[in-house]
Amino acid sequence: MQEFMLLFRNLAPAEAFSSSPEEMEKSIPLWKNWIKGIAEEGRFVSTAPLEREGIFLTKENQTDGPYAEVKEFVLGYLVFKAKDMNEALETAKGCPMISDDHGSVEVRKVAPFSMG
Amino acid sequence: MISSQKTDLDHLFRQESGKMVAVLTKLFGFDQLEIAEDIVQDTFIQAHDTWKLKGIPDKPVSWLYTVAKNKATDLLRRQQTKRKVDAHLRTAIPVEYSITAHLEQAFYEIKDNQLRMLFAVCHPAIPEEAQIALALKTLGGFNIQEIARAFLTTKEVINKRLFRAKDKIRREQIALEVPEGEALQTRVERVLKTIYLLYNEGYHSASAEVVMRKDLCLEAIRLALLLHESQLQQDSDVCALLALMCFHTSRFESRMNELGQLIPLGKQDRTKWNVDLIARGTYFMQSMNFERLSTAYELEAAIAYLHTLPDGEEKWSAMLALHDRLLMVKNNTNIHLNMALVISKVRGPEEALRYLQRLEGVESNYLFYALRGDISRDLWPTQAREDLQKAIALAPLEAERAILLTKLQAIRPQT
Repeated sequence: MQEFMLLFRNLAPAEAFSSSPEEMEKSIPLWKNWIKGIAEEGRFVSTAPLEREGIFLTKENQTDGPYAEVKEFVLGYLVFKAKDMNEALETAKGCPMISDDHGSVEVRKVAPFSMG
Repeated sequence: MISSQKTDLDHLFRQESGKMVAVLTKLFGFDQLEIAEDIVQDTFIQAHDTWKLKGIPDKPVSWLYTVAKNKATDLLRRQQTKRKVDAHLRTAIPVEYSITAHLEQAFYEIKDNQLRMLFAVCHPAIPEEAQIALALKTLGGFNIQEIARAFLTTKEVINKRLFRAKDKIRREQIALEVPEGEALQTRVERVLKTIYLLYNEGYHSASAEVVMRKDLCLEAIRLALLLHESQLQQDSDVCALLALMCFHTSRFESRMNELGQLIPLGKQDRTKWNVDLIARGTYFMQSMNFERLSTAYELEAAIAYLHTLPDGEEKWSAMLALHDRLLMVKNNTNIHLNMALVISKVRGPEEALRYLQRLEGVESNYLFYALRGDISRDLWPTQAREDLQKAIALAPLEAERAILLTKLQAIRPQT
């Protein structure tokens, strides 16, 4: 088993992902069932949604959120275990983020760390 | 509800509620023990009401877990939304997602949680008698009434003990975790002691309810297995305690007759001994070096093992050596009494009586008089008769008084 990280993003300006309460309500069981499956297989490591407020830093610039001008930003992450990239991809495809018009999920393998 | 269903539910409650409380406590925090207990209790009330109408579902355990998880989710969501005005809008991912992630993960790690709970319950700041009550309540799923019956006391007394324990947990901010480093070693000793006391409570308890006592013994074994499987450290004492409990429990069915009277070891029907448990006990003995037994658990396990073997000179002289060493690490009246019995087997009754003569603080101990009566039976019947009468007057259990009376009547009449 290797560790993978999913980055949940939205591709539109910040206001766009603010789904209506009804849409949000509808998405709840999707999110719950998806993560339940991962946890029941013992593949869950950690997850957290991120709040919208934040500060965007570059060498020249400091922009306070919520970033109207930033084209996409991270909404949260999940670290989980999978046999290989294929299995990780299958897991990612189940993420409700993807069925959102503005959502995207990035799948990245966590570089293994070992001493020596 | 028909009564067999009720028994099923009671059994299920014992099995599952401890696990559920441990899991939920991890989520809510050890200082929020009541919340976890409330959720589990509500879950079982709901099960009781629903199953009464619809019958017990195919997978009762997953039914219970699903209901408990839903209740926990509702509560957590209420807590979270109270903290943030509109959590959804601020995170764009529903709070139920994070709650489910942690809840499911906690249930997946059910054994780890029970272990953390066991270690926390055995924190040195919590008084010993409260530890056992707390372990039975939170890990074993026994209710207050049952714990009170096991301790032969009232619900109020148990409630008071539990309240004091929970108060300590809050004030000392005891964390729900397995300690590390040197603290681990000390805590493991404490955990072993609690399990040992819990087992003895079940095995020797003056409570006459056989089913309840066996449940206590099995719960002690389950907790020791949990500790053993965790592989937290080199665990020769854990193995010794497990072996000891397996050997004793193997005789659970044979040590009482149909009338509930206790049968002494030597008179028990050996074919009724549970062979599986003896085999398991022997398995746990394997890691022990018989030449170098040093702790009380190891020595007591070895003694219990010898008891499973047929009688013989070799067995009793090995017993003598083991009791000698046991008395060097643990000094209590029961061991001295056992020692006297062993001496009577190896060196004869006169030597054993001399040994008993030297014991102190046994004036009101019925076991002392019962044993002395037994040992002097053939040589000094008058003394034996007096001793047995004293023992009968002092014995707390009807089952024990009955067996003593039989012995008294068997002493040959004075000539």
